[in-house]
Amino acid sequence: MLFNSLEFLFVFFPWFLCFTFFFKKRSIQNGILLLFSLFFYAWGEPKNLILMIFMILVSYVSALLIEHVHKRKKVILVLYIGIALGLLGYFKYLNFLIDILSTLFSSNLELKTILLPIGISFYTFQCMSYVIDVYRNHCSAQKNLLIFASYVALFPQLIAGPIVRYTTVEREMIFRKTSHEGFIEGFNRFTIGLGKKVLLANNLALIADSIFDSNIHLIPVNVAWVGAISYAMQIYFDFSGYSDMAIGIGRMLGFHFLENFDEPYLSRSITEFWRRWHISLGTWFRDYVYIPLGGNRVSFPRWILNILIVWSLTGLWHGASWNFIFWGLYFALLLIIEKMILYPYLYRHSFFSHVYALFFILIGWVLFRTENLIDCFYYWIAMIDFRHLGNVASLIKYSFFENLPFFLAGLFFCLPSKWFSSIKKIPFFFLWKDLCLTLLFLLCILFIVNESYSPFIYFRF
Amino acid sequence: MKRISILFITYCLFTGGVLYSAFLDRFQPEETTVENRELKTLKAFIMKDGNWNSFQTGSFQNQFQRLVNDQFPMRNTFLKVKLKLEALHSSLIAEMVGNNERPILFKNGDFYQINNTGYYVSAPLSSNETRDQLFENRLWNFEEIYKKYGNEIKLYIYKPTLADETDWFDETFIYPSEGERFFLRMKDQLENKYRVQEQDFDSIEDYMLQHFKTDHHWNDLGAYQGYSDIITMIQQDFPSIADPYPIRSRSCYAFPFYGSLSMKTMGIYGSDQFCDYQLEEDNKIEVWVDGLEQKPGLEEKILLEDLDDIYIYEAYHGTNYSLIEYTNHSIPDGLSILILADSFSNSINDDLALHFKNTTIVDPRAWTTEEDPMNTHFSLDEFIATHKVDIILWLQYYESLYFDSRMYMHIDLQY
Repeated sequence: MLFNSLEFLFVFFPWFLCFTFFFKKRSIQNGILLLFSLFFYAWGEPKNLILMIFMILVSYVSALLIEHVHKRKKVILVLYIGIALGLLGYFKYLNFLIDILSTLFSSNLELKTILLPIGISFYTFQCMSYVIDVYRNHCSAQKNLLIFASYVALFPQLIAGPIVRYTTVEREMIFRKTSHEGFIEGFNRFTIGLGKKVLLANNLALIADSIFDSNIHLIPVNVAWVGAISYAMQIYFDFSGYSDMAIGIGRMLGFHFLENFDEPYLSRSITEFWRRWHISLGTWFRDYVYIPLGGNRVSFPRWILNILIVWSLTGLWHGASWNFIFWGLYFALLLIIEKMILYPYLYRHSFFSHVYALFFILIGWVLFRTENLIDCFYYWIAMIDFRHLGNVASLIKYSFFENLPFFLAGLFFCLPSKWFSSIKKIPFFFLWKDLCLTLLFLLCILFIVNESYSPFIYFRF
Repeated sequence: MKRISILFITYCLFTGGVLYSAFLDRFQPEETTVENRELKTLKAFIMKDGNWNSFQTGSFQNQFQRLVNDQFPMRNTFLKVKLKLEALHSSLIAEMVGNNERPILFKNGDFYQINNTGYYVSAPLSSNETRDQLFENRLWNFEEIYKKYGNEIKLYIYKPTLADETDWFDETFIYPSEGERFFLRMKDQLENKYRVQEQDFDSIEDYMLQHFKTDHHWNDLGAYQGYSDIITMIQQDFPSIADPYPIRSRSCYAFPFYGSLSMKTMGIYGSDQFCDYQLEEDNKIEVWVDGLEQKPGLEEKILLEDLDDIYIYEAYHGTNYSLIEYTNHSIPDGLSILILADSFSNSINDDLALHFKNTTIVDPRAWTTEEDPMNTHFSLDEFIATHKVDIILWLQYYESLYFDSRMYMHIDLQY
């Protein structure tokens, strides 16, 4: 079930809100939250619900054992991580591994297609962060299975993040407070996220798809850049829109999830970009992979190795494909170069460093979007080949002009929000804001009623 | 004092609307002629998908989504508003994209308009593994039929041509149309076994004269050309058949005809004028449609003016009946023809029947009989065994002729 579907907006969600706010007792509310979350997941994949329940139970038991069995807690942790990563590896990476082995040994090894359960990367990482935090004594193991299960299965962030740490919501699972203002604020945030997804991301996808799906050898340089920019905006609004909806729903229920995006395209370096983009994932890898490996408090060669490991895993987390691995390594290389050479110069000239960062971010998105490395290479060539300037296929031209308002809107909404901070001073600001959000909501309904199935990009991670 | 949220109130109103319309109000099926289907209702949903098995397979979820979408309050209003916004937007950008030197297309919904002519076409006919396989299956089927009946019965294929099959828009879409490849393959494969012909155009302007702007069918002029081509083709083997009759008169109706392509946009993107012709010859012809003695289509054509929201092509010429039988008493010694058809034949069935003693039109997609309503497979063997058949004509456009597996004739090869 998608957040931007009519059955979620007008059937599932209203009933959930009614039940939740009808009962005042927190334990009943958590029970309702769990039931609705399990139903939400089962709606998409009834068979894989068992897998998620299994992950919840294993994590719950492992954390309790770690807390009570001090001498062997490391063994339990290792076993648990083996199970968690084993499951993730089986469903997500086994086919990829088989392909690699087939290529290496020139054999025709085949495996029946293993379908990737929705959200497995998110809830596995979430559970692992909880167990590791218990191991590190950053939090106590939750003894109440209902509360723990509600945390893992929490439907706002279950299938596409943000990766919510248990320490963030530990207290709110039991003591959260809802308020009228918080509810309205959450609903407003949800609507903004809905608008980003339905109006911006989906329509920018039409431009990006018309370019990336065409003959890459023939696209002129201007079209190549439009395609890259469109895709950069598409993925940003798609993912940040979903995060906004998740955070908004959480706020309505009294949860305060951490922000997952912080205007990433304002970055002046790749280092800064990764502090602003998919923050929950970046911090997860920092805290549970990079720092345990030693971080930057090791020898220089070892530090480089740590960076390469973390970023290749980051790429691999996004998908079982060489494209994603190279995408991760691409950023690893940039981060190393920045750290070694560029960092002192990057913040001296804000404009140039901003251009530098955007340039390499866009190049990186091309690697992320193309089907394979060869297509990526030709696309990169198209981005610097000025020989075909102006020779634009009519269909691409049409897609661009048809979606030009959304392209311009996308550029507008990537501008720094602080440029518009003075808008709050206009008379009746809250009334105007409410009216604008209502109009936005109606526009979203207009598009949802018309649009075809359009899942979030990060669904299969 | 707590702040009132207009946004949340709006949300609650829509939620109430969905509850009312989807779950409390509408229980009778409603058709949407725009999408040519029935709208999902709660009763139909519960009866068909209200079970655990359906939930496990995902059908429950898909149909529930359809139920909420179909019964959403003010659905048609939202659709119309969006389409009107798109139309306004399209007209504003038309000048930026259009090119008078070649037929450049721009997109309205799922199809494309040739410059500003108002003529709509679909994307070029493409091939893929599935389509190629279906096509080869059909060729094999034609071979089987020839092997069994080729000695006794003359076999003909006539294909109305759509713009998707031509190479007019190859450059615009970057990928070429496979229409010519498919047709030449069929022609080569069936050479000396079937007479294979397609509707031919010299130019796009020629095409536009013979086709509706907003419908995928040929108009009356295109239908007459098709009728003439078919009779001329059959005359090559049967010279005794009369020449195509000339048009005696032609009449056009005042009401707008919203074709299949325009109906998808609720009529916002234009309409056609609907015309029909009358041929010179009057024969004594008896017509039976699905077992009833009646003419196909609406009895009183003039009533079309008073009918709203109908697909006029079908109402006027008749829908895809499973069986239409003509007996021409003016040609007692005439030939018997079986036409395996799709909707393109609807506009020329009456005309073709003037040339044969017995004309039988079967649409295999709609096949059913009173004796055995569950049997939806037309048996060519059974028909030939029980009827006199001198000629079999396939009169189908490319989708039906190449890819539609419902048009496949299962025949018994034990002979």
